[in-house]
Formats: sequence, C-alpha cells, structure tokens
Amino acid sequence: MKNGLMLLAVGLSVAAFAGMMRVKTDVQTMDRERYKLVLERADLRESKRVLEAEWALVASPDRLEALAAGRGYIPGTALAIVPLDPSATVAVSP
Amino acid sequence: MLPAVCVLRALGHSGGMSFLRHFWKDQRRRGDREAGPVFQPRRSPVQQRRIKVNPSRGLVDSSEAVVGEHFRVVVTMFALTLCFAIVGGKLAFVALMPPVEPQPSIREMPKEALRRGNIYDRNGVLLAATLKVYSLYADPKRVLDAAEAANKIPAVLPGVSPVHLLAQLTDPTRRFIWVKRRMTPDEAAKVHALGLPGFEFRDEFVRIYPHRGMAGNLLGGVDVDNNGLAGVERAFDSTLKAGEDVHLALDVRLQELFRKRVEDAVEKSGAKAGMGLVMYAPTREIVAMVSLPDFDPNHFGKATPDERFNRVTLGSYEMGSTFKLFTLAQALDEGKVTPNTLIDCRVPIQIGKYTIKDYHAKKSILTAQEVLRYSSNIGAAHIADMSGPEAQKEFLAKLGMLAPLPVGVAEVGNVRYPDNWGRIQSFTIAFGHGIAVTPVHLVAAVAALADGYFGTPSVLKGGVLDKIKPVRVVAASTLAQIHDLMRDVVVNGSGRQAEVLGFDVGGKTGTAEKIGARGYDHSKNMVSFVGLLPVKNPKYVTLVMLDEPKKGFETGGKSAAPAVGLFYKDLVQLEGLAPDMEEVAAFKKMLERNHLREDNPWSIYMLSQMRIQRGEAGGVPLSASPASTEGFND
Repeated sequence: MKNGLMLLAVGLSVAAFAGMMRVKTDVQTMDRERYKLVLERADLRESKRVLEAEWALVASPDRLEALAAGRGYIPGTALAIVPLDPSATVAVSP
Repeated sequence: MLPAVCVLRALGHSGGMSFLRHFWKDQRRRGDREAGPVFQPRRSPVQQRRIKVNPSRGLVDSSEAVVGEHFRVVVTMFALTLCFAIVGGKLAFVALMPPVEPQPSIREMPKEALRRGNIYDRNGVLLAATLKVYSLYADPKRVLDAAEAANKIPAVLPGVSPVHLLAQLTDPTRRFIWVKRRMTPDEAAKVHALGLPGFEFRDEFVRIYPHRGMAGNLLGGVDVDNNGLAGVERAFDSTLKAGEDVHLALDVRLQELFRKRVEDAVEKSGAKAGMGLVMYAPTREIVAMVSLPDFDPNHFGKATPDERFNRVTLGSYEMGSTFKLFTLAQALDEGKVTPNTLIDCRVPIQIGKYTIKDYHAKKSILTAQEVLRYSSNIGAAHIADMSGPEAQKEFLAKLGMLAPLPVGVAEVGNVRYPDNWGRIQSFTIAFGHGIAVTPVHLVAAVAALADGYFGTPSVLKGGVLDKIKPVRVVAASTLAQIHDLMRDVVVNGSGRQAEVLGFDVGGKTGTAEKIGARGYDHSKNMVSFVGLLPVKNPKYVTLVMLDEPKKGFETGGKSAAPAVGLFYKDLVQLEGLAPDMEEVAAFKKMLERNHLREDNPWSIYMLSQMRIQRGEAGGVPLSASPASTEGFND
C-alpha cells in the first residue's frame, strides 16, 4: 500500500514534469511559428502594397488609352450604334 | 497543525513527530510479534559487509531502521502532495480565472512600422501609397575590392557612375557613402545577389502617386517626413497618419478624360490657366477636379506656387453670366416672372455712374427665356430689380454662395461680396459681377437648381462631408422651368457647342471681364460653361473655366462649352448610357442627305435645327418637362 502510494506519487511527478515540459516545448514551437507568420504577414503586406502600386501604374487610364490607340481602337459614337430592330427607326424622319 | 499538537499533548505525548515515531515503533513491534519482519530491505553487498563488521547496523536494530524509513516516506509523500496541491491550485487558477491582460510573449514579435494610409478612388484604384524602398550605402573601409564593386554595381543599378563610385570607394577619408537611394525591391535583390562585403541596405519609406499629375491639386503632397502639405493629404493628415485609408469620390477614368479635355481647351484657346470639376449630382460627390497648370505629387517640392494653387477650391472669381441662372431661378421661384414674361432690353441701364449694357445687344424686348438664351445683362438686371437686393442676398445665401465651402481639401477659398448690398450691387450681381465665388460654389449652386436642394459637395466617397440634411431651395414646380431654360441655352443659345447627339444637355455660358489696375479690363476674360447631363433627372454637373483665352475664344460658348460637350461625349461612352436612338437615326439620315460627316463644324447647328423642328432633344420635349424626382428627398 505504502509502496504503491510512493510509486504513484513518483509516477505523477514524472508525468507532471513531462507534461509541463511538453507544454513548454509546444509553446516555444508555436511561438516560433507565430514569429515566422508575423514576418511572413509583413512580407505579404509589403508585396501587396507593391503589386497594388504596380497595378495602378500599369492600368492607369492614360496608359490604357495609349495602348488602345496603338492598336487602332477608337471609341464608338452614337452614330455607330445599329439598332437590333431596324424597323423601329425606319419611319423616323427629321 | 496546532490543534493536532494540542490533542497529542493532551494524550500525554511530548510532540507530533515523536508521537509518529513511537506509533510506527509500536506498529513494528506488534508486527514482529505477529508475523515477523514485514519489511526486509534489500541491501547491497557493501551494506551487508558493514552489518557483519558492525552488528549494531544489522538486524539487531532493524525495527528502528524500518521506522525511520517509513517516516521519511511519509514526509516525502507529504511534500509531494503539497507540490501537487500547489501545481493543481495554479492550474485551476489559470484555467478558471481569465487573465486580466494578455501575457507578454516569450519572444518579442517583430513590429511593422505604422505607415501613412493609402488613398483610393471610388472604384478602389490606388491614388497614393507609402512603400518601403531600399537605399544602398557602403563603408569604403570594409569594401575588399573597390574596383570589382565599381564594375559590378553599375551593371545592376543603371544610373550609378562606375568612375564616381570608384572614386568614392577609394577615398580614404570616407566611412559612409550613399550608392543609390530609393531602389526598387528588384534592384535591391540584384545587389544583394552580388554578395559584396561592405555594402548595406537601409529601409526607407516613400510616398508614391502612381497616376503622377493626373489629380495633383486634389491629392496634394507630403514632405520628407510624410506630413501632409496640401490637398487631401493635408486635410486628412491625422487620419492617414493613423494608418487609415481614405476613399475619394474621384473616378480616375473620368478624371483622365476630363483633364485631357480641359488641357486641350487651354492649349487651343491659349488661356493661361484652366480649371473645372465634375459633380455627381445625386450625392454631390466630386468625381473629377482639374486645375491647370498643376504638378506631379511625386515631386511636390519642385512645383511652383502657381502650380500648387488649387483654382477650383481656393480661387474665387467673378463668374459672369452663369449667375443669370440664379437670377432667373429666384424670379421664377418667387413668381415674379414666367419664361414668357417680356423684359425691355432695348436700352442700356444708367444707374449712378454706371451703365449696364449687353455684350451681344439685341436691342429689343425679350422674354425671360430669351434673356437667358442671349445672355442679356440688361434683362438680368431688370429681373433682379423685381426681387430687390435683400431677397437676392437671401436667395444666394440659401445656395451657399456667401460662405466658404469646404469640400475635403485643405485649400478653401473665401467668397467676396459687397458689404453694402444695394440696388446697384443687385444689378451687377444679377449677371455675375461684384461677387466672387469659387468654382465649387458655382457647381454646388447649379446642382441645387438641378434637383431643388442645396447639399455640401465632397471629395469623399459617399458624398456630403457634414451629413447635414440637404435644404430645399427651389420649389419642385419651378425646377421644370429652370431645366427648360438651361436646355434652351444649349439648343438655341450660346451653349450650342455642348450638345451631345442622343442626349439631353443643358447649361449656361459665362464670360466675365477680369479686374485690372483700373477697373475691368475688357481684353482679359474669365470664360466658363456649366452644364447638366441629362437635364431631366440630372446626374452630372460639369464646369469648365478658362483664364484669359486669346481672341477668337474669348467667350464661354466658344471655348468652354465645346470642352464640356466633348467630355460629355466621352462620359456617355464610358458609362454606357443609351442615347435616344430616334434622334440618332434622324440625324444620321440628315447627314447622309447633306453628304456631311459627323465631325463637320456645321453638324452641330444642323443638330440644333433638327431638335427645334422635332421639338425634343435627346428624347426629352423642349417644352416644360416634369421635375426631377431623383436625388434628395424632403
């Protein structure tokens, strides 16, 4: 009985120690992960900012207009619109 | 523990520990008697030899040894139990009690520097951002091979002179040199890949404006410490410094189109400056704003004071004939006139030492509608006289003309009006002289005539800055008449160049002489055109103003109205607004019949003529149209 109690106490001590060590190492591991994630988040945010700025530059209206002009695209006017039902405008006269 | 000791003392024992010892000894003896030794400890050979040598350590005193061991076991168990109790108690405390504040991390986490917030347009397009850049510096003492570095670095960093770099690296007096400031991440990676010792990077933050000078005066700029110095950057400095983003009402597509049209108008007319703004009428959001000449905010320090001057919000000008809109609107709203009321405009008005005459004198009796169509100063003065100076002042105050109008940029212009607002002043103010307001004032007031309400304009997405409920300034029954008058100016009058095929456009031209050293200078004009698209249920209010256009472009109808018309043609294409196809088909036939092309200068007059004959413009009858129902509500 007494030996059993003593063994139980020692076993519990070892288990508690092992458990606490496990918790400690887990915390440290997670802390390292968190540290990495924080750095990664900062890098991603920086990349996002740069990409956003690059996109704004690349998709700026003046650049797109120049590209369209270079390919010979011209904006459509009202006169270029052809109604789907020509009969709707046949009877119209000035 | 104390009560137990007292109990033991009462039983005749000397103390707790001795009691336990005696108790175990008794137990041991009783055990010896009953079943022999209970506990036979294992002994090592050394211990057994000791017992042989010294029998007192052996079985002779075995009962004492057993009692001592049991005592130590009990003490150990007690200590362990105490430890478990402490650990258990702590665990229970941690589990059950919420922490008062977050516990500090084992390792200090890296912190991102608080950056100035971004500025976006209404569609989420980036207008201003703070980026991390890398600056390369070197310690010449730590550079092992200066010649190699001077060869390799310029190869990956265009713009760095190998000769200059070598001279700096071999200068024995230097311990620090900047090789290149504000490099891109790509450039920094290339330099890093070289692996040259003695070269280091320093992180820096720089404010960038991807669209360069497209909206320079609106955005403003910052200093080297990223403090806002002008425009939105200054007006929302505290917000941006706190890392929050600002979303503007600006639409970069409209801004680009509008800027181009104003720029072309300035160039064509030879004006020394040009300005304008586009307001989305239902919410009073300013979707485009141009003040020329302007600057690139990326190089704010290089901008001249003239370029930094925001003419739209800071400059106040006598607007000229566009003010006749307000004179007519007031008289119509008060029931003093109808569009068909006859006004005698045959002779100039002599009042005091002043003579009021017309620029394009008709010398006839005009209807109120014709007063606006032909922009008669005499007619406007007569109409203003019907209401009187007090009512005129009150009406203009309701339109927000007599107080500064902050719209969300740091530059807010004052208004100027006479302290003594008498009859003479009311005459001149009726046609836009003697009172100076900013272009923002004018557009806000015209927007009030568009839907009947006055609302504060704003450069912020979502509209009104102060969230004050818009105030009705013109009765709904008057609005249709005002709209007809504005449409008539474009179809029949001086604003014909602003017509857009298939759409209902209205507006008013303005030409004001500038004040020189000796009164008004007849050779220097400030010309303008303010237009609505469409007049029925207005969506966009647009103003273009040109400062001192050269001869041939000296009126608003000749220089500012075409710019608005061309912008509206761009706008309807961009927004995908459907034209009135009946009008389009009719006009197409007319062009074919006359063998004309659309870009023929006479086509605009033919369109006007066709609209008058058909009695409608852009599908809307030229007679009184129903009042607007969109926008603000009572």
